[in-house]
Amino acid sequence: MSALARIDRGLWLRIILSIVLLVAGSILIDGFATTATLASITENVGLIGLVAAGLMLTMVVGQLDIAVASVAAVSGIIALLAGQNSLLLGIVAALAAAGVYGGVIGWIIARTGVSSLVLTVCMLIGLRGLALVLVPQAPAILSDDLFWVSDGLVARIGPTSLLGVIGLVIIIALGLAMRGTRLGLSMYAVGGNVERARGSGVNTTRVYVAAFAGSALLAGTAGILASLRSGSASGTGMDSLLLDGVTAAVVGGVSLEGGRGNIINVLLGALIVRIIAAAVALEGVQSSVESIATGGVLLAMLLVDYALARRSGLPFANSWRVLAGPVRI
Amino acid sequence: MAANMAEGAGTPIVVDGETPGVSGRWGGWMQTIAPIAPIVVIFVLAAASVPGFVSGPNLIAVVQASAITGIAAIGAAAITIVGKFVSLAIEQQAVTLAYVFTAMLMVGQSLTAAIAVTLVAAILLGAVQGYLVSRGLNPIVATLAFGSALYGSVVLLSDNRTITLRQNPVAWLGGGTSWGVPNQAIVFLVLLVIGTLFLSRTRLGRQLVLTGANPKAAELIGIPVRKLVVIAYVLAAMGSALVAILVVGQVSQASSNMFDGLTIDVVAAILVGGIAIQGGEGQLWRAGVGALILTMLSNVMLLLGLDAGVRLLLKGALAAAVLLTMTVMKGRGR
Amino acid sequence: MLEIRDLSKSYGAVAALSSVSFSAERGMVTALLGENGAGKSTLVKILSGLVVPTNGGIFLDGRPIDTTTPDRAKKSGVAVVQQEISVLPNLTVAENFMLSARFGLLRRAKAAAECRGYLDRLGLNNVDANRPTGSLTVGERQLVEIARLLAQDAQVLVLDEPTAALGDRDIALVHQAVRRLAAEGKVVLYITHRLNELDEICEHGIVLRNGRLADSFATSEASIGRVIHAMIGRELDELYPPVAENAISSAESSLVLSGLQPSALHGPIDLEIRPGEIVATSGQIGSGFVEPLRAAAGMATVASGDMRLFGKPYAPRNHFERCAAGVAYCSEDRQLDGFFPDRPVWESLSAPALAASGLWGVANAKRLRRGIDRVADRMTISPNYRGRAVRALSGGNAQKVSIGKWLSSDPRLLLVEEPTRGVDVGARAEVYRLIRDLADQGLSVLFASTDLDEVLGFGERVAIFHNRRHVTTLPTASLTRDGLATWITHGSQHG
Repeated sequence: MSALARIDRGLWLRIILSIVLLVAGSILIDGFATTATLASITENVGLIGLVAAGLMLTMVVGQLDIAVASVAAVSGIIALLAGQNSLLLGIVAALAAAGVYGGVIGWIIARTGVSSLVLTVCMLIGLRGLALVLVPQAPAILSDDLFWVSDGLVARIGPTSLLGVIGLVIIIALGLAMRGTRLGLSMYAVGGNVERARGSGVNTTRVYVAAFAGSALLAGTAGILASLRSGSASGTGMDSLLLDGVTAAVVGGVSLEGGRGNIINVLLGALIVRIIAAAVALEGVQSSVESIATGGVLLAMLLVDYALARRSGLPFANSWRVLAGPVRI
Repeated sequence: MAANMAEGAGTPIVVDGETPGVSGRWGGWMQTIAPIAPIVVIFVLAAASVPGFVSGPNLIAVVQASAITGIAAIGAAAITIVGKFVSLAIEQQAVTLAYVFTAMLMVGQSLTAAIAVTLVAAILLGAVQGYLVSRGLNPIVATLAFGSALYGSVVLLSDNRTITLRQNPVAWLGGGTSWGVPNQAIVFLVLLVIGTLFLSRTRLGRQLVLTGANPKAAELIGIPVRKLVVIAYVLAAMGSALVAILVVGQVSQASSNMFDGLTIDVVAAILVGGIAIQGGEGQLWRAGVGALILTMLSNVMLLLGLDAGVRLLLKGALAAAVLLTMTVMKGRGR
Repeated sequence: MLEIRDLSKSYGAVAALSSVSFSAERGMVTALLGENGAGKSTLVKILSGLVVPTNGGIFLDGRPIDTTTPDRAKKSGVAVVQQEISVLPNLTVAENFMLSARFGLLRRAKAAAECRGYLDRLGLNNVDANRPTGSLTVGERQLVEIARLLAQDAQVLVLDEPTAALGDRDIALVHQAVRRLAAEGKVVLYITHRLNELDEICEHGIVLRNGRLADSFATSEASIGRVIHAMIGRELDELYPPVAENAISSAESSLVLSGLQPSALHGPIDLEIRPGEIVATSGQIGSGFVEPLRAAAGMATVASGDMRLFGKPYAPRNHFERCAAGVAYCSEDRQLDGFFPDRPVWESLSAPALAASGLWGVANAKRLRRGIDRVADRMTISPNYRGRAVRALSGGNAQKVSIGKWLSSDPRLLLVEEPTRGVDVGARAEVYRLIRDLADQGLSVLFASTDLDEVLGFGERVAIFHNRRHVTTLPTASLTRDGLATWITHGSQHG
């Protein structure tokens, strides 16, 4: 009971915020309170939620993979290119590529102690290049006889679409795995304190590999789903997934310090981000407002997190440790 | 303690074992050479495969093409040196400042006033980011968010229009040449020298380096660490301001996409140049060398007919390679 | 019964442990005593599988056991609770147990129930297994750590100073748990510096000195005097430089703490230091003896009272203000925050002077570098090494850099926590001489130490802390080692 109560304070806050935003949107914006808008919001929550859930994995172990958007773009492209004949082959190839990327990055970080932030910034650049190499000019297109897949993904199921359902199912499965397996627990342990986790018998290399591979697989899944939905994937696409994903994760209460975060809150974080985006889109103002809103929300949440940590006396202000890998002075 | 008894009292300096001394010296040499090696390789390859590469005009062109990235990177290196990795808001910042500068000239302000306002704006932008980061916010995520909000605001305020100057008072600076050398290239090289002197010869510069080298130790000896973080971000913003002025001088206009890819180039230049990413290293020339390497790479690949994707891919790969080499060598030296 | 037979460990020509034999009965708490460097930590490392002995064996109930790796030690039933506990504060108590679960899938309810059993066995009846460990007291966490080891079927429990960082309530909790464990028939090896714990919970005592067994006794029969004699067994050597004849004449105080009440203490501190004087603060870990340094360094919240520095009110809010007032401070973790490991030695040495010169203006590297020659000479750091990274120095010399760097900014007061922790004996003497020289030139020094010899040999006066109170301040010349030990453990002159 006490454990529930603990989770709940943050949970209730986010639920209330989501409801307030939904109500405000419905009252203030014409066309907001329609099933079409709602379905669009939930569908995109599934998509952004996948990326955010992946980011949660690397954030929980105390690192960050900032290359998720590039991973999603490359995966989407591979799925369409390799899936010309057999869609399944394309999806498998795309996921394999993402998984291998994540695993290798996780292994390198565990073994060399290199800053994950900086290494994945390199990957953000390099993989974006790879995406442009794969589709230099015209975007990769889903072959005509597979267009039913696109239609199927956006087919309405209750208040969301098939895509939304797929995303939600994966995210919830991940949440259960994080809670119900030793590997999931080990991730929180490593994020809490690497040395102590090792002292408690946790294989830290395996945990880093799992976190980064998991993150890449989830981002890859998001990329594949998005590409299939639109039926095309360009070399420059999916840029905004990074900011949206990070914002959803941070709004969802995942700590950049590591060791904290749960999937339900991340989903609510994604919901809040998408409600704002949908409201902006319906208002007909430029998309620039969306980036102001998202960036602003992210900054605000970082500050709130900072203020809360300071009040509770946690050593958050030890900023020099942040994501620099193990402290190496 | 018992094991240490044998050393006896009054031992003079002892170097820990044999190996660190040897590998340390070798490692130090390697660390200096690491960023230059690619430049030499690329240079030789280019000279061999591309006719006319080693001509005066082409070399000047290379420096010219590196100038914008280089200047921004020299500024942004302050952030790296003070120990806050890199900023992801560089291009957004440069676009903002370009709009500010152009707008000031458009409404008929004098050049001095326009420059002054641009610099003040840069100081404000840098100070806000620096303040956030100095409080302990994650530098990369905070600058990502800040950049997004800033860019959105600029696009909104400018209505996403390109604003063009009818009369460009800085055309000579952005596009002109002196003694046959483009002024942008001169500014780049001069700034590199000034920056290097700043880091080694001023109290502020040396304290920036020490802060990055060990923030805790720096704080304990009375260095105002938070203030220095703010100053580092202000310096980075000043670099962006200079870049904005130069490019506006060159193209006589400001548009929202004028600096697309600048952040990536700057981050890649800093990493490829081999500035210690965890901070505390005062070798600013590396930022300049990094920019030169990237430009030469692009130059060569362009001449070889490789497209943008490959160039980007190689930038990322090269940056990662240098980063990992330096990390691993540093780990060995211990 | 745990038997240690002829156990030896040498590092090259140096014997850390030579032919130590003793036994510890099941059902008893056996105290393991000895000064720093007596061989205790080597013994603990052997038992936990981190160090392989050169010779000798370990037997449990007559059978030899294998402790050559940490895993094998664990399998043999030996569990070591280190001072640095490894429970994760962001996980719940039950989750900490589940980290070592054998299967990939967690059965939370079952684990919580199992965990409950172990917690109850240690007297943690009122600790909810689903509480985050971070919300427990340090002592409760310590017990969770022990419970976790019990869950792995430990027969031999080695507790390395489990009460060192605890307050009274937690100490009682740990003592109670330790007694229960012994009553269950476990072998308990209890390492401690608190001699009063001997009588409280230990039935048997083992004393190590210089790597050998110095004494072995039943606690009911041994006096504290016998124990202390067994532990020291030697005269204080010439580590400590004499106080200069003509030093200390100034009447003016450099630092005065009057009625100063840091929030972490239960009572006020009254302390006065004169120029040229070296004053120690001492006490058990957790007794608050570091607080006067922290307060003077601007790192502690002060509830009431005031500080004066050379007659002027002094209340630094941060390190910047402290440095501006001419007060130098060296933390306990000098390996981490005492120097700039990747920068040249001369930069670390000149850094305080650089910081004191402010942010604006030209820094003349040559002058900075020349300025440290005087300092480096006194620290016997050869000119060849002044341009190399601090990382290349030996530990002792790096320590000298971390303290000696303050010379460059001519401070008026030096605050040092544990001046020679982690410093070998050779460099120790040099650190003492360095600080003594500075004091002879008029610097005031306040150091915090748990090393009794150091307090007596190096300090001129000592402020003694007990139970988060400043008990008294005494000239060290009037104190014996036993006397000081009594003050520290009991907070009064008599045990």
